[in-house]
Amino acid sequence: MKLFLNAMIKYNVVVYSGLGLFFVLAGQQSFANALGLSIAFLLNLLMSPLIIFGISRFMDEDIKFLSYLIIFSSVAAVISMLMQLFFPVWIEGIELYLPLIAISGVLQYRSELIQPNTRLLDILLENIGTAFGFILFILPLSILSEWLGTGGLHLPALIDSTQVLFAFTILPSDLRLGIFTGPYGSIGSLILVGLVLALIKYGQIVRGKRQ
Amino acid sequence: MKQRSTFTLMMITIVSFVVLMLTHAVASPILINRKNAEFLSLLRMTSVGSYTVNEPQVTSASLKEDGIVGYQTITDGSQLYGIVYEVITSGYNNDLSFYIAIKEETFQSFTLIRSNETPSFGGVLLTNLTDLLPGLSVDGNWLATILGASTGVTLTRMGVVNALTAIVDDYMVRNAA
Repeated sequence: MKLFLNAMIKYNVVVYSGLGLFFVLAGQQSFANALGLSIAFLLNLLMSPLIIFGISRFMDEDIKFLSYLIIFSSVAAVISMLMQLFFPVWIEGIELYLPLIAISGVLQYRSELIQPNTRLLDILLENIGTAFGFILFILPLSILSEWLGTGGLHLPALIDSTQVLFAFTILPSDLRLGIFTGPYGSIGSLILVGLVLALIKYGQIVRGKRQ
Repeated sequence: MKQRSTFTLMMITIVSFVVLMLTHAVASPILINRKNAEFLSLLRMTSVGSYTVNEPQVTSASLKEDGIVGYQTITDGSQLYGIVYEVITSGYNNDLSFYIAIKEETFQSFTLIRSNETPSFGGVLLTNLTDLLPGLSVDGNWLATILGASTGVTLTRMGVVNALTAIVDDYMVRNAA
């Protein structure tokens, strides 16, 4: 459990290493995109290390990095195709980012923890923790971002974009901020992520001083 | 590189290639069928028949100015049979997105994808358009119908009418070609 919590909070993949930041910026404009990206992230972090764990005893040091690269890229490409099959509406607009999960460095970073003598349960706990750390960061931000931009929350059905799982509006149109939606959405994303990261770092400094 | 390493790397590459090819072979036809079914339903068709569904295209810069970001056609030989336009424009708020389908010089459907318009104001016009537009001729009184149904919602109407005007002009040129 400590491994899980450390990977999720203490060594959060966005806050601690900044490796998931690119995906947070890419997918946080809408709640549906954030969910789609979270699922892709979780699947990548589960499948790639499991495959590597299974074949690591056959990998010598000289081919380790190349093998990791092939496995990560292949798994990310397969997951990208499966996401288009099962979650097409949730990944609309961010399809191109999904295969990049492999080369973002996130998985390479995680793979450093996978050694032949590591227990499978530890690998699973760490990687699920890492994925949940990412989800913990991106989902609240996407809800806030969509709420500020569109005045509410909207989750379309998985395959048919005309169907809606739930949708509500609570912010009057006069109070909505255009920088959180549409073509200018990345401006709002950047400001919001910057603010949250600054707040977290400030909290860490204050806590460090107290200790 | 040792012989064992070479063999392992080769096996990893081959297995990855096979898995990717298999996934693609399974996913690709499903995705194409799904896209075609969605396209045909916008045109109120149930099957392709003897027509040809062409690949979606990105529009020219002049159409993009009016928010028309893409289109897909269905042709009978070299003759245009139907066309679906994708629009991303602004009304009262940003990010108003919808499909317009035209077949045989008649609007077939208005399908709203996304809207941030006020539900009780501009949103009403968008809902009404789903029923009002299908069946109207592109060279007929579609504009008068929309104007009659949109009193007071100037900005939403402007976004929709600007896009529709550009679509009708483009359709006329394509249909005459």
